[in-house]
Amino acid sequence: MSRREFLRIAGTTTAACACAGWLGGLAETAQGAPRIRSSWREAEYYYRLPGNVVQCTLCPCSPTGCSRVTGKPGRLADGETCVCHVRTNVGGTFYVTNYGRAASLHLDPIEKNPTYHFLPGAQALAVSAPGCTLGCKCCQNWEMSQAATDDIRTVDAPPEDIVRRALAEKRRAITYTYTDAAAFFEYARDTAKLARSRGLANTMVTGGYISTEPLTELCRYVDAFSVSVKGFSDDYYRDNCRGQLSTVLETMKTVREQGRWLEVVVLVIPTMSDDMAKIKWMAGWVRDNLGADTPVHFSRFWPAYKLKNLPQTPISTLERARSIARGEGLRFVYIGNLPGHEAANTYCPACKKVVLRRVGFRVIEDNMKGGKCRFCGAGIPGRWV
Amino acid sequence: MRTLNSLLVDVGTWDVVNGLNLTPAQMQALLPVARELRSEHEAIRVERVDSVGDFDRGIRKLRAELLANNGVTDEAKAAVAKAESGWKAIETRQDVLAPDRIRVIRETLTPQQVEFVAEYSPGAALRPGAGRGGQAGAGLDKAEALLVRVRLLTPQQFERAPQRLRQMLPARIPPDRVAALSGQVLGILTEARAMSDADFESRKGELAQRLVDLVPQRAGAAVAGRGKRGPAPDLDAKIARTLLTPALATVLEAKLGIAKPAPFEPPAAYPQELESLVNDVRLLNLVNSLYLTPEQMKALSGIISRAQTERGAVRPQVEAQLGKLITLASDVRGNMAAGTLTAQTRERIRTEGARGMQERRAWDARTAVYVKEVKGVLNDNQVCLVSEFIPCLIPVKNLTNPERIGQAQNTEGAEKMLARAREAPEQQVEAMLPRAQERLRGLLLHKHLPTAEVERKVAELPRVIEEARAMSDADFELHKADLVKRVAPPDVPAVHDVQLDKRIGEYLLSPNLLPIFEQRMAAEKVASK
Repeated sequence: MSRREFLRIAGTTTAACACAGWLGGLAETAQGAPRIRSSWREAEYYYRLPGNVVQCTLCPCSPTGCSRVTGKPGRLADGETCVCHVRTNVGGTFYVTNYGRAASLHLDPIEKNPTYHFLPGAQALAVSAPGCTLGCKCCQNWEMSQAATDDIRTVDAPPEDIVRRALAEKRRAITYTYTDAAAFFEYARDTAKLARSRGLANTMVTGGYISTEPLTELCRYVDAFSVSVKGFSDDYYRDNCRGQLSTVLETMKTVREQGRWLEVVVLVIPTMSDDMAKIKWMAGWVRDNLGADTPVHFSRFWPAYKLKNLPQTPISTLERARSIARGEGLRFVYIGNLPGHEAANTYCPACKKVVLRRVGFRVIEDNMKGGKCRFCGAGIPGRWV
Repeated sequence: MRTLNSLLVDVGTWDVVNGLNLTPAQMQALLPVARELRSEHEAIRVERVDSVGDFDRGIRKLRAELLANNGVTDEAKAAVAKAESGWKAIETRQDVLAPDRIRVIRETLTPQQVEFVAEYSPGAALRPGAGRGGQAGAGLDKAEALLVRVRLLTPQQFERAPQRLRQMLPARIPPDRVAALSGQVLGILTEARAMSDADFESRKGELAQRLVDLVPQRAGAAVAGRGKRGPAPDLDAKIARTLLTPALATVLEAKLGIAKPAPFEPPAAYPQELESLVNDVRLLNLVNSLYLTPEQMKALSGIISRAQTERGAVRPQVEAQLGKLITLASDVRGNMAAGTLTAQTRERIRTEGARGMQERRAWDARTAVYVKEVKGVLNDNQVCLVSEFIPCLIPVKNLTNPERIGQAQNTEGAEKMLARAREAPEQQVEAMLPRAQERLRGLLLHKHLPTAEVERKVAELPRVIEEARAMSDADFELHKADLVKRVAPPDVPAVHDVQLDKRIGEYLLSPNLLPIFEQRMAAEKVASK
């Protein structure tokens, strides 16, 4: 084939594909709305407004507005899909598209959440579904979190299947992670409810961007939360995460009020969230609102998604942040994503000895006895059994 | 040191061929394989020389990036990989061809000759005493070393000793004898563990003799944890070590009278400066994973400097000794080519060997003091990381930590291959299977797995693919990593305590660390300001 022939065929094919796409678009427009799939479920947190418009109440939704038609946060016109990618308004009924569709299923140590004061060394079945209530530029799992259900490969794994598998694999817990469980609220809630009835624990990794009512419902079944704080102001959240800090702070307070175990993860990103004055403020806020015994993890940033231009967080920055947080009175401050660093260990606040020694996600030394330090008998806060 | 080691391999080939008493027909049969091997080694040498420039650029970039400790770019990784690709391809081909070559050797040798290779102890001819009569003394040395190692085991490690011992005893021993033997050996080992240091020093010879009288050494080694390194070396591996060497062609040609024994050629190596850079990169990979504090770096620098001063003082003797050993090994090679070892050479081996051993022990004792100091500086997490460290140029995954907090697992290449096999039509899978098996064989052989283990894993591949295809999506998602494990090379296990000390001595007492620490501490100072 000559070069000229090749270009002619390539041009014709491209034009044909473009036309097909355009015609496909016309077909969808003619239908007026996306086709409802058998796996879709009606969302639980929303209400209907006149003109087939729905108002989602699962999360405060993007403060910059997530609807091109209404221009208001969480208020979606007929045929519109929310910025979380997985909630769609079809004819005034609000559907969730990721129910029972697992984007990943793994067997993970619970330390990976990270939850260091909750069943240390336990293995969990980790499940995620597409979509996210936030849109962080630093997301490590953006292929799943910033995708619609049909855009990525998912596996059919309804709640009963997840629980059956966790029991068959002799896991002690199910973790809802990788993407924000708030975006797959119905799926996570039903799975957690069933898991609890079968004697399994539930842990949730979340960006904390969820309204109080659904969160309170989740707290009935989820035993431990790992809430990730990405920055220290509403402006930061608006510009980099499509959210607002106040909601995240409110989430942490609610989890604590509901009596659930809570660990706070602070992602320290060079030049963006490594201001020591703000870290000091954050540590003070945790102490005053959640208590000095709340574990805080300063997590090392790894270039990803839209922030590949930034370097990894210097170790000294993380160590300074830890030192400041301890100075503010927090008793359990960890450094994450640095396997082998001694700030991954749990130290007894009374005798200062290592009660749990970790390398990576492994617990290599356990000096706890019945929730107490084996050396001095001091109680270590957490859920140990 | 590299020259001496290569020379010893060369001498070993002469020694084993001399001992085999091959007929001319056998030598003619082995000659094609031997010549192929020699030309491959020559090609590796040429590739190394040709790629020096690229490798130098790649390794410098890698070193700079690792020194900055800010992640390694794909560009640097690719530059190093590209420079190494030529000679690595030849090595991989050698690995793939090795089973066929070993088969040729086994088919050429008589059963008695094969047994000779199996029993051959490298360097046996060099030991004091007439011919191979020195082996009993070597057995005692090994038994003593074993007792020393067993004394260092933790109680938990020692608890596993009976089981390991039973597994390693030869199958021909009847079960009741196994039980009795294990009991007696464990009795001696327990006695050695219970002794004070002084008692042990005075009685270790007697205990070692009792041990040697009782049990084959391989079984004893299993108790000391050496079995941990992997399955016991099989006959194929022994043949590969002793006969599949670049020297074989020279030996056979000399014996057949085709050519005069060629002079020894030192192995292909990069220039000294480049070797030093390679060493730096390995050290940086370790140091970057340890997260040493400035205080630790300062303390380690002090220890390394003192060790370095001591090393500097003994360096002339060490270098002189090394020179003597190289001369001696060259003489031995000359004697081997002539067919016998002269009495004079034997005497020199005895005296130099004894002196070398004495100096080595003295140096090891001094190093042990520094190693203890280094261990005192490191925390337990860091010691754990050192024990798991695999020397590498491109940082291995556990050091770059791909499984970060809250992140989904990275889907490995092998898992992706299985996912593709699940979706492919059956005919296509059947068609691609032989190629996939061949690639797997090459990979496993490259990891130096025993041939039997390689073949077991290769035979497992069709079953793994079949199971993967039969699984539901969710089952596959959950179990794909387990499926891959069944055919992948095993993870390198954590090293034994004694090896850990050796590793600390080798890496964390390296003088190359001094400028690295200096630069790091300076950078820390600037950052803290």
